[in-house]
Amino acid sequence: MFFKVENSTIAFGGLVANKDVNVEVEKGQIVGLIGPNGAGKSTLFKSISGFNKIDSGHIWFDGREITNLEPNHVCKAGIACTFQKAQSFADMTLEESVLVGAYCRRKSKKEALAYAREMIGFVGLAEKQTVKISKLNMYERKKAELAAALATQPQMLLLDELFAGLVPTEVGYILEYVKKVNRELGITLLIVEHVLKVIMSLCDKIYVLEYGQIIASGSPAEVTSDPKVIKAYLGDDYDVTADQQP
Amino acid sequence: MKKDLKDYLNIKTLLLVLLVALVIFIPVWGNRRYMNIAILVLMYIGLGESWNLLSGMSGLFSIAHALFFGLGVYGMTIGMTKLGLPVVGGILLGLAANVVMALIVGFVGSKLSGLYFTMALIALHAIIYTLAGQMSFTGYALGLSMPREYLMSRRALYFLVLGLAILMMLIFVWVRKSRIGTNFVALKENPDLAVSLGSNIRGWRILAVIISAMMASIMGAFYAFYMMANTPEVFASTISLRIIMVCMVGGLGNVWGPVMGCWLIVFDELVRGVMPSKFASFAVVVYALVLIVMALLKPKGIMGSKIFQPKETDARSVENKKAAAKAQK
Repeated sequence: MFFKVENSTIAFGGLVANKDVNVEVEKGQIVGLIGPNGAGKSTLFKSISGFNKIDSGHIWFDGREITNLEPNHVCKAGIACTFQKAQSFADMTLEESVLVGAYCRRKSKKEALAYAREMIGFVGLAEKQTVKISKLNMYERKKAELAAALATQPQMLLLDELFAGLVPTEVGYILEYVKKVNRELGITLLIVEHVLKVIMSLCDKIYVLEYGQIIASGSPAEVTSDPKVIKAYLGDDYDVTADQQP
Repeated sequence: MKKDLKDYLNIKTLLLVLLVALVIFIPVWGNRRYMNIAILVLMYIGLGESWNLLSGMSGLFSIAHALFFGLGVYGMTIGMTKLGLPVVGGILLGLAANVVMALIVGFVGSKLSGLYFTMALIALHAIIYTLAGQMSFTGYALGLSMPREYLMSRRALYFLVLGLAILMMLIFVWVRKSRIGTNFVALKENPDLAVSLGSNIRGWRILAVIISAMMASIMGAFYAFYMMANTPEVFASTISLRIIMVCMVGGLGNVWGPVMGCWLIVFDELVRGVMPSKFASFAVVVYALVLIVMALLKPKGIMGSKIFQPKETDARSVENKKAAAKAQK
């Protein structure tokens, strides 16, 4: 198995944010993670990327255990992530901020800079290379964050609501980049997303979280027709079968 | 892109030429007092670069930088007088003491961040300051005197410290351009993002303290030759305060910051020369006022002014301008 979360459990004080969560991802897949607000999606992501220490369970990646490693070691192992709230090095130029990621696997400045520029070109920001991050707009910052994450040369990328805060046309553009990341760079993707249109058109497999537990998983079509999922999103009173009666 | 002579005729070049002229002419016409001020100014530029690397570049606020400076002074004086080491031995002793101190401070600074780093530094500084005045090994409160044969002329000292100040500036620039500097700035700007991109922020923080402490240590070794003695006063908070002021006024995280802020040292020395000795300690009031005014008017220091900002090299805007020029034809 390429990537596997096994019975991951984490509690903050009395609140159990993730309970016995199991997720499996095959190499090259795009896997989605959905669920109502507060279901524990971001918590799971932070557990994988090393910002949360899980109470019990295991996380396996590429044949080794990465449970509770520091975030920089997780990154070295081959998992990069983007944050829910766009993070940036405001006072750096675009080039240098991507360079930080490139230094993850390249020690010499020449090599790292060449790779950083390649990634900036990949996300289509080549002409903004020397502009400070603080002067970029939201859409460009999202792309800059993506470029920095890609510069670490990950095998798997965690995208936490990459599409949040963008207008629909921009969502369309970023969607193309995300597909390109998967197809051209061969990077496995694990995506948390609220824009269901994105998830449905992108993913091979979807996990649904509610109250910290996985309630359903499968292909987009399977998941959307699952009564448990519909209940989680629309409430207990909504009777799925009622609609289908003649 | 070819540059015309016109491109070089700006305020930056003018200031640089003035600076170089000043540096060359001070030893020619300067009397002993002006030479002393010039030496102190250059020393604070060197110390400023050291502080700027730690606090301006890496974002770890060092409030007691005199700790590293003082250890450099004591390393040299103890090495020379008590242990009979050669000059290089004295420098190395100071550096070794500083690396040990930097490891302690850096370890605390990497485990606990921000305020705790500052508090740890204050505590260590207080311990060393007190010990320096209490032990026979360090010469109690009166300090140790350096052997007479090492006494240097003011002119020799001036060129020595000039070389050191330039060396510190070069180190700063080299670090900023290298992989180290990129990681330092990254951990200042956004530690969470830096660590998620594979940067070992704990290691980089410790390295930042070590490099900065070693820079301050070398300036301290110089100060031992300038004063020909040590006293616990080399650990005094006024020295830390001056280092911070020079950088804050000049510009944080910029190699020219300490150079731009060093007029404050000149000003301070002149004021203290004029004022009756009774009021000399009131110079601190002047510092405080300058700091408040600068914080209100220019929070990014003098180097934060518009004329020193690099020009926008946004390729798109350049192309737009070209397109507009074509359209006009």
